[in-house]
Amino acid sequence: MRQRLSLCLLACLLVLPVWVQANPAAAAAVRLHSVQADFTQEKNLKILARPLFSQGVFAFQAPQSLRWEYLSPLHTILLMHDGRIRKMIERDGRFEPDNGAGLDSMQIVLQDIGNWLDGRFTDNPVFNVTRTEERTVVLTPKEPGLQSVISRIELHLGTAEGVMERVTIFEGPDAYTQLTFSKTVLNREIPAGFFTTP
Amino acid sequence: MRHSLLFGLTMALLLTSCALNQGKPLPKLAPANGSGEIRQLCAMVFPQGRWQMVHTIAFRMADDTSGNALGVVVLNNREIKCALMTVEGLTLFEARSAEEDELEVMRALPPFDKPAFATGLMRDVRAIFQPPPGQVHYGTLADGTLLCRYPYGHTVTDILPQKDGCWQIHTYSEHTSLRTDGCLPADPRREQLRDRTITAQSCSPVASTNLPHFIELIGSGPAGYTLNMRLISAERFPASQ
Repeated sequence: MRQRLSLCLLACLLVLPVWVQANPAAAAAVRLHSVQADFTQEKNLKILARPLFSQGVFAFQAPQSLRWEYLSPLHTILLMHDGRIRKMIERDGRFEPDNGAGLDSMQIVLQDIGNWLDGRFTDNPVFNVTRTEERTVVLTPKEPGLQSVISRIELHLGTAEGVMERVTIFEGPDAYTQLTFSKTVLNREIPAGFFTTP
Repeated sequence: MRHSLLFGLTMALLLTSCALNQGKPLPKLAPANGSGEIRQLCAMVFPQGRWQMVHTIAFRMADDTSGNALGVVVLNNREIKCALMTVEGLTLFEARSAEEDELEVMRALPPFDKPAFATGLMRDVRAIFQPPPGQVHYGTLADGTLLCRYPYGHTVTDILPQKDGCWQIHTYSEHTSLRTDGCLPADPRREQLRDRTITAQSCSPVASTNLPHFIELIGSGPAGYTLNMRLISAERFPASQ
């Protein structure tokens, strides 16, 4: 279950490269090689008097390189490159390994990224994908076990081609996490070191 | 040769089992002449009214497993709501407790879905953020440290409101006392031994509360654990909000 949980988490994170794939024809026209963006994360729970906010940056480059970094309130980095996956946390000015999640499952999800980049995200083994509005894609977990963790994910595409506006991850009634993206840069070559060192 | 190896292994196991950490015994309390100042200092340990606090939590278990999470506590007088979540925002655990012996778990993902975890977590949260139950006694320790003592059933909670520039909370429960080598004596007896130590650091006064920026909670014993909490935000709300 713990592996499934981290798989689900990563699926949420890595679903972002869907980016231009809501429109496969456009995907063919604008081949996605890399994405970089800032994000603000807003966490809402029934028990909270105020939502919680986190800030971060991320970068993805085909075929399988990812940097997912929270800058506040806790500085953590997930790095993936060349089949190697590391999660680190900053403590007293230095990064230490964070072994909180089962990293094996990350590799399974990474295999899907290739499909998403090619516009084949309906092949997703974890989620059913439906398009509810022109710029809204809804992902619902296929497995009941996952549904108890995340009920659905909504992807809101921006007006500019290839730009995601926000992702909302629903855990259940009154509980959701919303990621809003800004300063998106597509297809800029990113040095490998960005995916290997904090 | 094989026999001596077996004997050695057996002795090593026995020694290991005898060397379990045992909490410190309950210290003697000398009654204070006047209780006004101590009462006020102990009251400042606990936030009063409505609060929402967010901490980063680094935890380490007795088996050396460790991890990090975000912890949220929402306080409203005796009611406590709390949640544990990953940095990525996934809620691992969410619960509320209106009273000491009442607990409602709204969400609990493995491995946080054991009833004992929910009870233990809420007990820890209550110990940090709310005054303990019981009739309070004010006094000092042998070294002059100010103390508020709350005996309640088989447990005793000591609040040291001015320990090392901030505050500490020690809880004691009845245990069978062991010999100094950690083994069971021939005539075992029960006594109050410390099983939880909460150490607050970097306190600053906020709205009648001596608010710490760092809290370390150590649960003693074979199933012991350590939580290191760093305050990210503390918001106080009007009662009506």
